[in-house]
Amino acid sequence: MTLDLHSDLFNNLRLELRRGLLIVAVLAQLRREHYGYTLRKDLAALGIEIDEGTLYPLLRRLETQGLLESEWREENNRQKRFYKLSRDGRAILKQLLAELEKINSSLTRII
Amino acid sequence: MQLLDRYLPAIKFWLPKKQRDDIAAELEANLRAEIDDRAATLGRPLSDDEIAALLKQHGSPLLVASHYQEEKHTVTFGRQLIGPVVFPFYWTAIKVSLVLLLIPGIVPAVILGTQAHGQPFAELGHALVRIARLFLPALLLVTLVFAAIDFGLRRFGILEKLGNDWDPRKLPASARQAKQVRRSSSIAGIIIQSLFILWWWNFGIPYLVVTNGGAQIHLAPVVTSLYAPVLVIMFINLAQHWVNLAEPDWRWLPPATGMLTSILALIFLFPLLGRSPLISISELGGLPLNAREAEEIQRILGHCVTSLWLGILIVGAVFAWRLVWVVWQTVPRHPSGATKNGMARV
Repeated sequence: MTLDLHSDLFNNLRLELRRGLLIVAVLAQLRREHYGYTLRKDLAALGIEIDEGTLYPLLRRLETQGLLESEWREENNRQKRFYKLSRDGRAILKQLLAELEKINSSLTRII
Repeated sequence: MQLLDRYLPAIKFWLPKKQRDDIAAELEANLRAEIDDRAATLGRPLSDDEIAALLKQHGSPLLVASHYQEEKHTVTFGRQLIGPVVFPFYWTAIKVSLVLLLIPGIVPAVILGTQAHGQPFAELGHALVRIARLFLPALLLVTLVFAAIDFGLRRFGILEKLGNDWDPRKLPASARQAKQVRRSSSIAGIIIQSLFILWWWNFGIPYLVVTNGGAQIHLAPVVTSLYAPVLVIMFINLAQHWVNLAEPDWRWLPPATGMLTSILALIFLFPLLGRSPLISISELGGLPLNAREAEEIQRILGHCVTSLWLGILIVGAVFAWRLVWVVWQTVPRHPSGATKNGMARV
């Protein structure tokens, strides 16, 4: 296996692994209201880097799925779109966190 | 913040129409917040170079917009054949193919059914069956072509490569972007013209229709001799769309091409005006059309040619007016003032 192929494979697997976990992280962080940029900044400060091209469309998709609510509001003389977890989002997050914990404890035993 | 004012319209251009303004407004809010935040950290406004670096890191307009294409809009057959980025172009091509098959298939059938036999529904039914037989291979072909394009984009990471090569400073000013020939218009034109050329190449000018009685109505040689001139006109239009895709600033080209092709069409159609016969009928063992019915069809076609000629004359005049308008707008009438570009205004 060449180094390039190895690196491509690792990146693909890493992306797959991150995809679901990022959604959990975003939902969890949006228990408190944020707009796009501050959410990205806060997540980065907590060690979860998400590029804008992934995060901003993801927020819209989660809202379409009913997991988030949003509203345009003025802050510091600028209109911004604030997102927060919806009632359905809270219920789903609770289930996702329970699932994550289950997987995590199983993985810990396997590894 | 001139760069941001150029960047956002360039992204909007590729966004899904329904959400275009909303997504662009949200992106603008987030980008301005990021620029404000960095400026606050540095204790000074960002320079144009710093803003350019930030926008480059954010991604090329096409790449950013591609993230907002709806994921449910895909073609999947076991695995994903056409992804959300290519899907809008694929869907346009499918709709255009259907229209290109429907119009030439149905209109003659309805005219003939109404005028010759008084059985429009029967003729329409036959026409729809013929169209369905043609549409299924066309659907398959278009799907395969777009699946290949999608595969190429993903396999060779073309969007990402384009993203690496772009420079925010080379984006045209927003006012100029608004006046450019839209890329969507050029792409739609390329698809439509290509499909029409393929269709014309394969089917040319065949018989108009086979009646219930078995009579096959052909267009007369004076009409079928238009095969090559029509092909030439379509290739000229196709070339114009390709050129405008590469050079969207050449706003004069679409009206100039429209005017040229209208003049050519008027010249080609001129010998048909008042000319008879425009059709010939071969009977294939069924009930023949009587002389009065054939004359009636001839009369209708004669009217169609005259109307078409007058229509093209009007269209040509509109293109000529548009060309004059575009040229008049392009001619500079005021000396442009010097601009200074220091720190960006936030």
